[in-house]
Amino acid sequence: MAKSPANKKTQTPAKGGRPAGLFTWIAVGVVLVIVVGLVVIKMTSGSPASTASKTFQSVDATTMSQLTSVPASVFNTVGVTSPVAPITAPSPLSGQPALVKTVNAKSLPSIVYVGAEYCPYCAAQRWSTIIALSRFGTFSNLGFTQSGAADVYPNTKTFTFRQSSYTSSYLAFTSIETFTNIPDTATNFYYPLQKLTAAQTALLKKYDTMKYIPSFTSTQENGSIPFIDMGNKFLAAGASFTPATLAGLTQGQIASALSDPTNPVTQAIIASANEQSAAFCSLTNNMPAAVCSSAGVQVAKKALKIK
Amino acid sequence: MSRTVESVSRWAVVTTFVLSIIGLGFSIYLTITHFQPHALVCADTGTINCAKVTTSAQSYFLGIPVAILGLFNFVVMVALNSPWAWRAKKYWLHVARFALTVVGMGFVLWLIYAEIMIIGNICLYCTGVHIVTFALLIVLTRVTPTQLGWVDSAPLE
Repeated sequence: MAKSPANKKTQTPAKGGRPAGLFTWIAVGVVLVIVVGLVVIKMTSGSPASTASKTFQSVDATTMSQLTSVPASVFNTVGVTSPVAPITAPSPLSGQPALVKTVNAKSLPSIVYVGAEYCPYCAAQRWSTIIALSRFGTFSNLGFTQSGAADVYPNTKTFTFRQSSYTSSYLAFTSIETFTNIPDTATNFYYPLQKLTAAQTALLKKYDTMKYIPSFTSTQENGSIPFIDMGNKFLAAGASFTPATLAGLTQGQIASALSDPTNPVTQAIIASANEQSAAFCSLTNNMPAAVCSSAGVQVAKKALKIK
Repeated sequence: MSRTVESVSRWAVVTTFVLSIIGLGFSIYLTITHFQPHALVCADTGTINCAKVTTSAQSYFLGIPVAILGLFNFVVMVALNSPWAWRAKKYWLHVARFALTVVGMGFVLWLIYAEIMIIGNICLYCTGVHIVTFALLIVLTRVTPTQLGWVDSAPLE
């Protein structure tokens, strides 16, 4: 190839005062500014999931009170009767090592919940699980949420355990909300939220299976959420009543009806709560007595064949 | 109006031709793995996750797989950056080479945006294409303005 006249070490003045390397410097500058800018924005703004966690909405005091202070008369009147929405009781588990957790140097029966915010079945299940556990201890910092808008039973109103804590003298409660309800276009799923520990994963792999969950009809249901391991004595997988029961209702509407034992939504939630309470009582040596000897729990014990 | 086209240094010709061939190689591989995802050899954990990028919604542009667009781009670039094309006196041929590189870089910036801001993962082979395109942009912005008379001369080392 012929050598160009431009191929000289000397630099002649550029046309219009433009240095010969101007285009290169502009191109490199623009590209670097854009790429570095994107990296900085990404590192400082985080994902939609982290944005969602910043906009966490705590449950208000009124709803919290209605949810966690259901009158004893309602539990006793409803018992396990839910004519509109049938209830699936926790499945008994035998011959397995007790699942316990040490809390403040005290070994307590451990309840492990695995769910996700997008999941409509988890949305339904949380109502009764929170109410049942509130008879044995105290929740704080529960949040409002709803199931995924694009999922079945869309926008089912519920609560999230993502930032909650639970204190009890009788039970230890661990919750894992694995995904948000925010769709992630990159994965065609939802943004991840909380990760399971190796022990929790092992628990799920072993017990959330057709072998231990009688309601599962195929191995495809293995790993279904919500999954609740109640001290390795009872298991629950899937919602204990259909999320359709809660369709179109707000948290406030559902919570304010919890004092009405004739309300079909209340009946579904409370019947499930009584059955879970009965399972919990079998872990706590029937403590507290006021709960475990109550008429509603006694009926549930009979239904679950707990002595 | 006749426009003059000056010759460029041998280093620029060789560099752009080699870069184009490397880019073509990446593009061929990405096109194959677009249609046969199991052929993709890449980490799939952490930030580096080629499959997540190449199977994302952003792997299509106006309904056309981005891998195909990349392949087409580099087939043309290999031709335009061949020693024969560099020797051509057709002014618009050299403008086309420069314009295609600038457009390609713009597209690469969009893909980097998609990887970082939307998908949240980086594809190593795509990054290879991005680096090749950026390197081509550097070389061409260095020699094309002088070659086409947009500036009087450049200190070519």
